[in-house]
Parts: sequence; C-alpha cells; structure tokens
Amino acid sequence: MSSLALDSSPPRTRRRFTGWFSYLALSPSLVVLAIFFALPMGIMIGMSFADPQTLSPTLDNYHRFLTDGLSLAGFCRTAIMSLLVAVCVTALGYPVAYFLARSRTRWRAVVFALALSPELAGVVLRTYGWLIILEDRGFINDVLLYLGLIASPLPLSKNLFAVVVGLTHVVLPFGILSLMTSIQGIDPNLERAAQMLGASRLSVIRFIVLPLSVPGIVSSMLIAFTMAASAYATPALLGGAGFKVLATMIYEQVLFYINWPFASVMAISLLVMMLAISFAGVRYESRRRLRTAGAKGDN
Amino acid sequence: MTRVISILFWLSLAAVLAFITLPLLVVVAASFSPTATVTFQPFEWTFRWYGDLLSNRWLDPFLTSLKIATVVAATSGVLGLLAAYCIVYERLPGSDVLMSYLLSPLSVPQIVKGVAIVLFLSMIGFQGFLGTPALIAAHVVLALPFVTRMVATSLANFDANLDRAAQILGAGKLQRIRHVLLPMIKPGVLSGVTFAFIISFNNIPLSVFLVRPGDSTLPITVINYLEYSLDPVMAAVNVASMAFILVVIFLFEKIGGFSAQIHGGSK
Amino acid sequence: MNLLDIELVSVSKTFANMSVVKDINLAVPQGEFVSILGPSGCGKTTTLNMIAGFNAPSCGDIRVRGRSQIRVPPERRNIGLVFQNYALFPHMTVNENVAFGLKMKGAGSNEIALTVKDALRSVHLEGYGERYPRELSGGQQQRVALARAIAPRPSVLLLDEPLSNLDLKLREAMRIELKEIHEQLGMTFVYVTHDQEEAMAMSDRIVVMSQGSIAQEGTPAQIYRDPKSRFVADFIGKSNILAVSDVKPNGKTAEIVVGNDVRLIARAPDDDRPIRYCSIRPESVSLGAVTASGEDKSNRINAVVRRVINLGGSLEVLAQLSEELHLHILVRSSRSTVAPAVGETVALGIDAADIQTLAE
Repeated sequence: MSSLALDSSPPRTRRRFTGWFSYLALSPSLVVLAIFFALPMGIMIGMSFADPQTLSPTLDNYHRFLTDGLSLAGFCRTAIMSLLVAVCVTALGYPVAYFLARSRTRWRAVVFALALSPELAGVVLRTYGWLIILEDRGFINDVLLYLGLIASPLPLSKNLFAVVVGLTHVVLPFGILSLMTSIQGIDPNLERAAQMLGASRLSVIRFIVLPLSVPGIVSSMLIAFTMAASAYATPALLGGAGFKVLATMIYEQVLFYINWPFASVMAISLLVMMLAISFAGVRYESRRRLRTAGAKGDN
Repeated sequence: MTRVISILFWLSLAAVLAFITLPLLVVVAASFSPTATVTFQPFEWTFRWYGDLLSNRWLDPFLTSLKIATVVAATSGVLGLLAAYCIVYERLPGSDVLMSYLLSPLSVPQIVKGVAIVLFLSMIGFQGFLGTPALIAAHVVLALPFVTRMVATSLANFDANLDRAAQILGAGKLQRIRHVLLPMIKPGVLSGVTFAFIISFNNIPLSVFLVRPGDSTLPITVINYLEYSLDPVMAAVNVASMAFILVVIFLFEKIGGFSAQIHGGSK
Repeated sequence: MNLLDIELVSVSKTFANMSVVKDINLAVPQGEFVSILGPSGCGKTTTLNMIAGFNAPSCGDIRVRGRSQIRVPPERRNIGLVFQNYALFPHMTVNENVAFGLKMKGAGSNEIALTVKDALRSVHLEGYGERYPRELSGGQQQRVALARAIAPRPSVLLLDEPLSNLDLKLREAMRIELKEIHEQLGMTFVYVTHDQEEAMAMSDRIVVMSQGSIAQEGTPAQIYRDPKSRFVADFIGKSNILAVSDVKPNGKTAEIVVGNDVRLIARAPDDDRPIRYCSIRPESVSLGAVTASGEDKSNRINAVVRRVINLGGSLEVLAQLSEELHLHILVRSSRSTVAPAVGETVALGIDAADIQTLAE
C-alpha cells in the first residue's frame, strides 16, 4: 500500500542515459533471436511455398500434404498419440499429485523425489530403459515366456503402445507438477466441510476435488499434449519405422529425401497443431478467469 | 468401503511410482550386466562397460557436449540476465512487446526450430557452420528464453524497497546493482544457467539436424547407436551421463543456487 | 530563530491526471518530531517519497537545511528512511546492514565498526551483529532497520509507518523507545502514520492530511481539543459530530441548536465562518449534571440510556437526547460506579468549552 504511488526517480538526464544503455544491453539477445530464430522461421515459411526442384512459388507442397494420404495419416497419428499421452499422464499423475498436495508426512519428500527423478535422467536414458523392457527379447516378454503365459513374444515395441508408454513416462513429472499446484490451491477445509455434511471419501473426491481441479487437469493435458506432439527421440526409438509421427517424418524429409519445401510444410503443420492447442488453452483460461471474477463480483 | 478405496488409492500410487522408476532401475541394472537383456535370473556383475567409456568413441562426443553446454550456459546466462534486467528492472518502453518477442521461441517445437535453422544455414551457404558453431547458436536460441524468464521472475520478486533502502543510504546505481540486486537474484540466475546447461547437454530434437560426422554430441551419438543395437555399453553411457548431470547440479547448488533462496527478511 | 531542517514550498504531485498531493506547505524545525497523519490514500506516503527523493514533485520546492533538493537524487540527500516492511538486506548480516550506508559514504573500517556498535547499542541490539535478518523477530528487525537508518547520521530521519507490522504490545513499547531515541539523537524525525494514537503519543507536532491537502497542523493537544474540521474531529479520537441548525452568538459563548430542538451553549467560534457542525468528545460528557468538584456544567440535558457497554475501565453509554439525536458517552468506572440501566432517564452535563463548533 505504502509504495503504491512511485514513479520514475529523478533526475531526467540520468534516466535517458540508462534508457540508452538498456537498449544497448538488450540488443545482443534481440539480434541472436532475430538471426537464429525469426529469420529462419521466415525462410522456412517461405520455403513451404517453393517448388522442390525449381524453387518457384507454388501451393503444390500443401496440396501434396493434404492429398498424399501418408502425411495426413501422420498428422492424425501424432494427434491421437498426443491425446492418449495427455489422458494417461493426467490419469496416472492425479493420485500422485493428490498425495503430494495433501500429505504432511515424511513420505511426501520421498514421493516427490521419486516422481521428479526421471527429469534428471534425460530422455535417452529413459527411452533406452523402455527399449530394454518392451523389446521382443525384452524384460516383459522374457518374464511372460519364462512363466509360460505366452508362446511367442508379444509385439510391445515399434508401435503406438510403446510410444505412448515412453512419452507418458517422459511427460508425467510435468503433469504431476501442474496437477499438484492446482490441488494445493483447493482449500482443504472444503473437503472437511463435505465430510462433515456426510460425504464419503469417494464423494469428496468426486464432487469437491475433481470439479475444483479441472483447471489443473486442463493444464496438465495441454502440457502433455504439446510435449508429446513435439517429441522426437522417444517416437524415433520406440516407434521407429513401425509408428511414424510428424517429428520423425520431418526428420526423414530433411535428411533422407532432402525435400526442404515438404519438410517445411510438415513442420508448419506441427506448429499449427501446437498453436491451436495452446490457443484453446489460453481461451479456456481467460474464460475461466472471467467466470470466477464474475462470481466474486456477485457476492 | 472406505477401506477398499484407500487401499486402491495406495495401490495406484505405488503402481505409478513403480512405472516412473522402472526404466531407470532397468538401465542401471543393464549397465552392470554382461548382456543387454535384463532378466530376473541372477546375472554376473561386470564393470566392463564403464571401462569402455574411456575410449575416444564416447569421450569425444562427451567433450563436445560439455564444451557446447558450457558455452551455451554462459552465453544465455549473460544475455538472459541483461535482457531481463533491462526489461523488468529498467521498465523500458515497449517492454511487453520485447518480452513476448524474447519468449516467442518457447511456443515453437524444437524440431520445427531445428528444421528452420538447418534450412537457413544451407540457404545462405553456411553448411560449414554445421557441428559445434551451429549447435551453440541453436542451443542458445533454445535456452535463452528459459533463462530470461527465470531471471525475469526473480527480478519481479525483488522487493523494490530494498533498492530504495540502498539508495537512501547513499548507494549509487552501480553500487546498488552490485551489492543488492545481483546477490538477491543470484539463485534465479544460477538456476537459469544450470537449466540452460542441462537442456543443451541433453538436447536431441535440435541437435539431430545440426551435428556433423566427427562433430557430434553425446545424446545424438547414443541414439544413432541405439537404432542398431542395444549394446549394454549404452546403459553405462547413459548412467554415467546422468551422474554427470547430478554432479553439475550439485556444483551449481554449492555456489549458491536454488535451495539457497533467501527467505524472509523483507516480507 | 530556529533553523529549518525541511521545508515544503507549495508542493504538488500529480500521477496520470490524479492530483495526489495538492499545494502543501510545511516547515519542520531542527530536532522536531513531526507526524504526518492521515487515512490511507491521503497523500502522506507520496509526500514522504518526495522528501526522500523517490518521487519528484510536479511543482513546488523541497528544501533540506535551506538547500533545494529537487535536482538531488535520493542517494545524495543525506536523509534516513525506515521502511514499513523494514527492507533489510536479507543477504547481509545485521552488522553489514547497519554498515551499508557508511560503506557507501566511503567511511574507514574503524569508524564503521564503532558507529555500527553505537547504533546497535542505541536500539538495544548489542550482540546481534552476526545474525541474519531472517533469524530475528519482527520487533528486532524493526530495530535493525532503525539502526541502519541512523548509523550514517542523516540530517533527517523519515519513518514510513514503521510500527504497523508489529503486534499491539510491541507497538506500544516501541513508541516509547522511538521517542527516547529521538531525544537522545536530537535528529529531526518525520513520522508517517495512519494511527492517530501513535502520532499523539510521540509527536511534537502533528500534520493531519486529507485528500492530498493539510487539514490541520498543531501540537497533539491542539489537534485533539480544537479540531478545525469535521474530518479532523472524526479522525483524531472518537467524537460525536452533530449537525447544527441554528446559531446565536453571545460573547464568549454561542447558543446552538442541534437535532430539531436541543439547545446547547457552545464555545464561540474562532472565525466568522458559518457553523454547520459541532463536535463533542465522548469523555467530556458527564452522567449527572454535577461534576466531581461540584461545579455546575453549562449544559444540562435529560437523555434516555439506550445501550451500555462495559469496557472494563470505563463504560460506553449511548444516550438518546431526542428522536434522532444520540450521544456516545464514555465514563470512567470504578468499583463504586453504578452503571445506568437501559431505559433509564439520566441528566447529562457538558461544559460549553467542550463543545467545539465546526464550519466544515
């Protein structure tokens, strides 16, 4: 309250000097991003309208993307895979997040460390772990064969299943964090109040905690979706040739077919998918803000 | 009924934690096992794979990654600190626009940034730039927005009254920056720098386009190798690289990072 | 002729077309303890920030010891400031905090060590030098903030609601201590607060601010006894403010009509402005028309007791004079006091001198 009314400090001349200095100090960042981000992005967008042979302007690349079947299938595979990952992350992350948000015991620190530890390990290590586990001669098949439950190895890798498992594992810590923050924001007295009114544990979760943590669920789904859709290493290793997504298809276009224009179109389609999802998230969030602000105003 | 639910809850918690830790344990186990397959049948311990790590085949990419990550962490640390300082602390006119520009790379997937950069380099005929220089530039573009955001957050949390207190006690601008502002935002800057180091060191989606034979990073060397074979030496490489990251985090923490966040005092 | 430490000459401040401080004139002689008192949003903090140099006045001049400070940045004004939230440097020990100002002035290490010791002694914190602010209680942090501000021996010490984050008991103890430190140092103190009790307890002079202007200034006693406006009467202490419908001046007194038909003898106004209100302090009304010393009160009125609240040492009585005219009355109570019963008719006595007429 007391420092509400503070403006720039005098004297004017010194301000002007620091303003000058600030722009100078800011310029390296602006220039680096202009050269290695803004300019390349512009070139890529321009390239998407160029003929692969002659580089003359054309819409053929977009036409091919929409009609060759393979590309759109890859686009849909990416979307479906990302959606599945988002659902799995949120479903698996919820109990952990609830525990982390509400527990006051020593176990909280242990669970917290366990839940976030994979983040330190890097994507390759984790993906390698899943390869060992899911491979035809891997851990799970080995156990099942040994127990005589199956006669021949189950196809657990190089498919949608393997990629979803691997990506869920990669994204899970982020989902848990965002769900945890949201659940922590719910007043525990609401749960006690519901219990005092006769609600069972299950009803408390069903009617109090779940509805109030919807924003956290939405943000966990969004994070998971965007991370999954843009992941490269996990689908490359666990999906391989058997399950191609946009990221791996873009890589192929660049390094095997050396088709820059078509790679650009695919990259743009991935970017559009991401931006659409983020935009939906922003819209949801601002609407929710408006609603809650309105509800407060009514009181 | 309540009992059943609570048992189910604890079971699901345990199952998820098992899911999270399983691949890590498997890799650690594999790194000590003579074959790449991990079975629950007893296996002999071997340290052979760790010995193999010291060959040039793994040492060279490791050193490349280390060099790149160090340069990236230092560069994006300095640039991010300057940028966040100018925008948040000096409140430059148009700071909102400048900030969204600086953070805009965050909304573009890495693989897309990678395509754009490699396309740009080949367009301007700078293919010779591929390898370490291109990797550094691309990783700075990746890390800079993160660092800027982290430093901006700690600057936004900086109590302006501390600055005023120093000023009324006679400290000029540079003295205030040196004695008050920098010590206060140090944890934020250090976590930003650590983060930059880690995302550069572990990066795949950008690096995959920009490496050159003989000038490749550790993760790229590993995944290229993994596509052909599950050699247990890979497990050792991965475990060693994770241990290295832990050491880096520990070192930064020691210099006064994250947990040294200063509490209270100016509430 | 006393030297003036601070002068504000027609100082105004406008933020984005909002006039926050309007044409303030203030002169503070050396060694005085002045409080700037007012509700939040009255412009007192802006005024303080202008003296400190964090805000530049839109017009007017600020002088310290006769020298204009308009072009002087805060770091060269030689003014001390104690912040409401203490603003202690959390990464420095108590010693380093207190030494900061001296270090910035380039003092030698021996001098610094001695002065820091002195400053900590005067706030009773010897032996706390090696601790960090977070290891101290709120009251101790407050003392460190004070020591840090006085260590460089500023010409003026500004205090921005320094006690508002402390609990009541500590606040009351700190009032006495602040006053003692003021006397001991002989430094000019400008104390900004919204707490009228605090201002009354410590100040030599109180400046009451309202909506960006000075509503009244004077000694605590003057402000309390002779409020010049309805705002001051209401803001300083508790007061019954009654609308006056008619006035008949009569030498040193005046007959006024309050409510519809209650006539009271009041003190004659100081100036010729029309009288619109009068203010009566709750404790200046006696229950029963005769005072302890047996003197007659100028006004005797019958009233019906509507509510009695026992506050321990005193009784708060709500008395109804006429249909829409109520008075809050505060009477000391002791073992022998018989509390009036609700519904009972009592005689009230008020001295003419205790009825202050107000023009605004």
